[in-house]
Amino acid sequence: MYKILGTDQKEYGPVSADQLRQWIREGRANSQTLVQGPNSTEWKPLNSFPEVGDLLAPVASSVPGPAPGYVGSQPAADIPNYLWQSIVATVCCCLPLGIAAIVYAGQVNTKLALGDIPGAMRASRNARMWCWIAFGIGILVNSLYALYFLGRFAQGFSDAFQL
Amino acid sequence: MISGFQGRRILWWVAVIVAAAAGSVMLYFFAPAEYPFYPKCLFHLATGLSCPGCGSLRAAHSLLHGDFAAAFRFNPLPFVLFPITGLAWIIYRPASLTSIPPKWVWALLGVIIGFGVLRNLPVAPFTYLNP
Repeated sequence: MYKILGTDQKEYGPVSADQLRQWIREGRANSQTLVQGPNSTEWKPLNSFPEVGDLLAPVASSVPGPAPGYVGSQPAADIPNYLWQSIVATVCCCLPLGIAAIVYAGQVNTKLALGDIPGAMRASRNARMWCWIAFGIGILVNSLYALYFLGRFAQGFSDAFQL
Repeated sequence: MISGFQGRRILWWVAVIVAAAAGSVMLYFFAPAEYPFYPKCLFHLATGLSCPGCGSLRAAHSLLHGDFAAAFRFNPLPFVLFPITGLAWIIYRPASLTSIPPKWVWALLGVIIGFGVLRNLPVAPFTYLNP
């Protein structure tokens, strides 16, 4: 059985060799798609699997790249590192969690430079997660602060008019 | 013909521009130092210290009124970072933020944290960094 890593950074499978061949024919996977082979936990590009090699050459030449939304390979530069979002989260929302997001953003670049694509994808997911947590906490605490301020305002208003 | 993806992208940019314009109008007429309804910095609320972004709204207000000196005094970080990163972007033209050499990302993190530390030091030149 095979598992494949999609452009959306999700794992698909396990699927049979026949299903994998079907995906290659449909252009959902190409020679650069990362695949986990049978009895293996290592991600390798599809062109290192000789059992499907007969399908790859024509597909790779006739389909220049996977259509958006399709399962397929991802050029390294397309893995988002959420760097600017992390910096915005740091200075606008929540400093410590934003710093965590920037660290993961930097790891995306570091791991890509080392060729560790699954590691870069993991760091990318973590960067996105910490951005959202920092953003969520910023919104939450500021909403509570706004409620408190409104309460104070209403109190002052009722005091002023001796309601 | 505009596809769904392009349509969403355009909508997103329209939303960003409208929000930025609305925010600028509000910042122009209501000084953040005088009105309490602006978002608060959690780090400043929790610790009393200034984070690297503290003073940004006051700086934006000053900037909208053309007072560069006051804006720089409230938060000098964007005045230093924007020209440098902008220039680097024009010179190196990276394909995406992901293709920037890792050391530059770490340097950026170092500058942000370092600025955050320096502006909280209670000694003479650094106190000017504290809004």
